[in-house]
Amino acid sequence: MFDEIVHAPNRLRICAFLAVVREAEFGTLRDELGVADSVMSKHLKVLADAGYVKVTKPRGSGRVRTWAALTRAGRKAYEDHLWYLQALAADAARGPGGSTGANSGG
Amino acid sequence: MESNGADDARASLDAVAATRAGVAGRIAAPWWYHLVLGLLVAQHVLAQGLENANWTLPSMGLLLAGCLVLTLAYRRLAGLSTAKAQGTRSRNVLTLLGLVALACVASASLTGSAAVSWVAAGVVLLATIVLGRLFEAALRREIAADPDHSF
Repeated sequence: MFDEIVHAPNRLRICAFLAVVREAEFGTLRDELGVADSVMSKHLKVLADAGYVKVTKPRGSGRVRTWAALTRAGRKAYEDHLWYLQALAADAARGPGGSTGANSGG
Repeated sequence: MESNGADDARASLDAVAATRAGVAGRIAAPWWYHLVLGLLVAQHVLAQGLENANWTLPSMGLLLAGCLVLTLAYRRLAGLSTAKAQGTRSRNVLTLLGLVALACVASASLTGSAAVSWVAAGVVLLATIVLGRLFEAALRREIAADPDHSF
């Protein structure tokens, strides 16, 4: 199923990253995406507000680091969206008449 | 989405694949990680062969505390923590490592022989280093795998 929140390029990449790890540090995500702190913060906030990402700032010795992890709802939304993209790409590869129904799910 | 169509979908899938490859490249434990982990398991195996049974609990405590410290150190250094085995190969390697560790603990414990315990400790140390690195390599390959084939 198409998901507007997940589909934005940076947010899709954040979800793709978090889908294969338990959690990731803010700076690691930012470096992987090659974006500014403000851009990363904005997209993480959108995902967190949607309930797709859980953001934590554990207090300890040294500077406070921000960690992000995909929630169960976030993983489901990401996997559904990925399935939608795969079906759409597969439909196009098959050509007319070979639809999997992805085009009608938007 | 419909207006962008299949090209947009393909580009999004490519971005996902590139991100997964990036994550895979970040999964690399420092050289000392598997060595320290192997030493922690080996000392527990060795403790099973010692005549003084009072070593069992302290060595288990050292093993658990050491694993916790190692996990936190890796998380801090890498900026991420890996979830679990992602595919059949990494799962198999992890299972094999668990079986080797269990066999070594059991052989040292059941025989109670210092000589057997030293050999078992050496085996588990070597197995942890070798299989630990194999697990990591398998995990990297599985994470970097094409998302088109991930479900």
